Amino acid sequence: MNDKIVAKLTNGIALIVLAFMLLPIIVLFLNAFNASRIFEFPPRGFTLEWFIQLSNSQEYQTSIRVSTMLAISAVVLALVTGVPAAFAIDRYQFPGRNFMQGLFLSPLLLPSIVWAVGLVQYYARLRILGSFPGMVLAHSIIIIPYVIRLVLSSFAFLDRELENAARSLGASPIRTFFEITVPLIIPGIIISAIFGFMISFTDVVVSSFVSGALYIPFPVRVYSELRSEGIDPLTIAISAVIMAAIILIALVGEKMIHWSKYV
Amino acid sequence: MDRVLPRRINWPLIGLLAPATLLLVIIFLVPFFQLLITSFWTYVPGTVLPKTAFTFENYTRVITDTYNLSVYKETVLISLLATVVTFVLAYPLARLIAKQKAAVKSLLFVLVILPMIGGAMIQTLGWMTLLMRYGAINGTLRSLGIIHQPIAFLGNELGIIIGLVQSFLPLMIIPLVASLGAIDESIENAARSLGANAIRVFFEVTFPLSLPGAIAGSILVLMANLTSFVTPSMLGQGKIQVFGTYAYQEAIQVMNWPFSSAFAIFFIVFTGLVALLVSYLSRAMTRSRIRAQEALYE
Amino acid sequence: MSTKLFVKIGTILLIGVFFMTACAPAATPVVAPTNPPSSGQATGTACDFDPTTCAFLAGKDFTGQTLTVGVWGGDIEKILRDIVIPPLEAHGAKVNLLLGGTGDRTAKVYAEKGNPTMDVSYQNIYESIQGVKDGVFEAPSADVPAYNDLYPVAKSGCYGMSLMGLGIAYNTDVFKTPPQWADLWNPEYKGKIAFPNYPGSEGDGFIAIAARLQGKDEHDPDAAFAKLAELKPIPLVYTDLDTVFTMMDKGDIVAAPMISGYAISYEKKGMKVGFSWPTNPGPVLTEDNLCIVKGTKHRDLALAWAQLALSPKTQEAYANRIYFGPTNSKAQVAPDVAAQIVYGDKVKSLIALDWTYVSSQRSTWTDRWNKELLNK
Repeated sequence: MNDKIVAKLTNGIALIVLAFMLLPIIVLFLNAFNASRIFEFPPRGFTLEWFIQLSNSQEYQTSIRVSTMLAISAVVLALVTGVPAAFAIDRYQFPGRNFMQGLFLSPLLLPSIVWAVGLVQYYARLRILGSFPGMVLAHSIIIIPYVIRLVLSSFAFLDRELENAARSLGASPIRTFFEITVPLIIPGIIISAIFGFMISFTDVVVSSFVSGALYIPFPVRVYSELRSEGIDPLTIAISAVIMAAIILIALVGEKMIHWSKYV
Repeated sequence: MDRVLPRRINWPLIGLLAPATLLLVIIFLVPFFQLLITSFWTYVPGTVLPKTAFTFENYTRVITDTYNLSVYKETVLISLLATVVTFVLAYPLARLIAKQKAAVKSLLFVLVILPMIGGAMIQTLGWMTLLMRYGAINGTLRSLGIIHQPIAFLGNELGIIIGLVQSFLPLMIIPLVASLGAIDESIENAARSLGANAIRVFFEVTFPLSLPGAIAGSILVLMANLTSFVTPSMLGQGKIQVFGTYAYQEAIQVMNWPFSSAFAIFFIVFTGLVALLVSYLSRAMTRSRIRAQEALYE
Repeated sequence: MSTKLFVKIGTILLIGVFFMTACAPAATPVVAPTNPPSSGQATGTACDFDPTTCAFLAGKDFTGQTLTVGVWGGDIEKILRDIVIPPLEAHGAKVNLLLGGTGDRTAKVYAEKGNPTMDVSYQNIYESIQGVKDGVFEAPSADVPAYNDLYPVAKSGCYGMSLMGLGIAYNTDVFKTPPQWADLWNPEYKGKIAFPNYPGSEGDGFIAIAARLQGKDEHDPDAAFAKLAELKPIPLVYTDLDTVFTMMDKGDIVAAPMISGYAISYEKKGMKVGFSWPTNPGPVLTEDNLCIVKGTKHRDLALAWAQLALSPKTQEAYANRIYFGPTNSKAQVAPDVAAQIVYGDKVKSLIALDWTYVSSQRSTWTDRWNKELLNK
């Protein structure tokens, strides 16, 4: 088959897949302006009412702030503990290495609902149920498998030859680490940070159980209303705003620090 | 070369591993062991507090009750299928993104990640409105004349798989983008100049070299699919029972903590074994890839 | 070059961490007390509740105390913030609402048994009965004066907070007159009757109705499940309200057992749905409960909360705003609203299940539900 045709075909498929991925987002955006209070497609009527309500809702804004702080803290903790661990697993041969890897991956396998119930009892006994640090710790556990997995894989395509070359040219281990190794694993770090943030920000199950009255994350607030009213249009508006903000930050960030080079 | 551990204690190694291990042990393993203990307790119908009397009945029920096994089977089948589809669909898009320059690449990257910020609920709601019998997708297909009767996307495995694939494609695409981006173009060009056509170059050069990212992504996607709850619950219209929905039902609604703990432990053990297998495979493949790359440099 | 970037990112991260530690995340806002108390009494604002409530609150000083209430979000939260929280704050209290569902609330309350961080918790009828038995919640008593005005049925678990009826939500094009339970089994509608999620109050009620249609009651699940199986194939087991009402609006589903308040809310949103109060058998009673957690360190404040929440004024707000029936017999509701809620005489026409028995069958019935009804 002609190479050009193959290229065109794969690009076509790529764009179709992209469109497929964005379909629900488009529905979401349209619903943010939907005049009717029901989530539907196509929307009936146009309104900015939900955005206006959003700007007046102190509760929602606070919960977004809580979720953001929580997510950032959890990501930082997961990175600070996870990156060294990934490094150790990649670089050292030691008994129990496979076990360690499995251990770090295990939170992914446990359905959060069952772990959350256990965590409630555990935290209650430690008297940290509902505390912010408790929430950060729980979220970091959810994120660590992603950090380890993704950083490990970026180690894998790190060319050892480069490191050996640098060492043979006289660079100290520390210098080699910071100037050769770290830049090459930055993609893994950035990606796991982004995923970690998303997962923490949108987590409902664990957060419902370990949150207290003082710190109510955004998804918990949304979920607590579902019982009697369905999805609050405010939630849709918030999600639309957050997505628009992310696109903006990404494009501006690209102009400033060219982050796309590193992923 | 990997450092082999000397006989004496390697403090740097311990220092690197300790924080993460500590975190996991304190916040994850201890409650997990509590779960293990609970799985041997006796459920008392009509109450929340189980009797601490030791019993095997929960595990017996897990293994012998055919319903549980069918739930497990359903979960694994749906998850595997969704993971494979995700894997295949991710490559073209990841490739496209990896080859772009700055601004376009960052825009595409963000667009791929965007769905995740809404969380499972929002995306699933979006799919529900699209996939309903009179929803936009059926409507479009009908007006294009492709179908005459609406397709039943919801309430069966098809809708669930569609939802799962879309939810977790970012998890597969992003590591792949990084992985593909790290591949030295000169290798592909070399293969091309030796006469291989595009397809062959992909399967024999690009694909193997991108495996680390692909495997990382696959593991994450598979785990996410296996434990997923909101998507199967809504897109299955409450009719399809998978592990996530069953765990929710037993743990939170029936409040049978012993049984749900037992089922969760069974699930982890079984699936953990599979994950170990995949991990071994990936390491073996990565080793052979490194050897191949080293050979190429000679 | 790469070091520079590393330093840049590191600095940004460091600044971020600094901000986070220096400025602790703002707690969920507690509406600032409107009247800082001088003498421990509501200064200036007259108490605009009923005499019993005002007498109960008079002279109480809750300065320095914080009440933690576990409750659902949304409209219920708004009502509580509008009506119940301000008077307590006028007496010096701070109130924090812990939002969530009954599932996580129950887990938390049981985990903290004896040393709770929640002082008041809203539960469903099963959880409250069980919780009182397990020593996690206080049994209802006249320590809350409104207790004397509650309907008897609202004293079964903790303090009954709202009464709703499980009736039938239906598509108004298909049913010209509100249907009866037996109408759901009309062969014309086969495959178009949505089921509620199970376990849950709606599910228990539906099982009880099915049993009654066979001449039995909820103590005979065999009859019930056999009858329910006749409605298969099930188009939808609804977990969220938007889905079931959208499908009903479009006609994919023609009817579903539904709690009165929810159906009426969606009717008001403009969907082609109506709510039927069946008469033969009647609707099943479901009730939300307000539970005072045993061992609470702020018992007086919790009692004051309960009194305010159960007072006619709050109960009337529930009725008028979200169509939840009052449990306080002294609550007055306009006739057009009364027609839409469980109120007055209607209370007696509701079927009250043997909740203790039903709760004990939860695991068995869930198993049967999964195996006999959900399978294809």
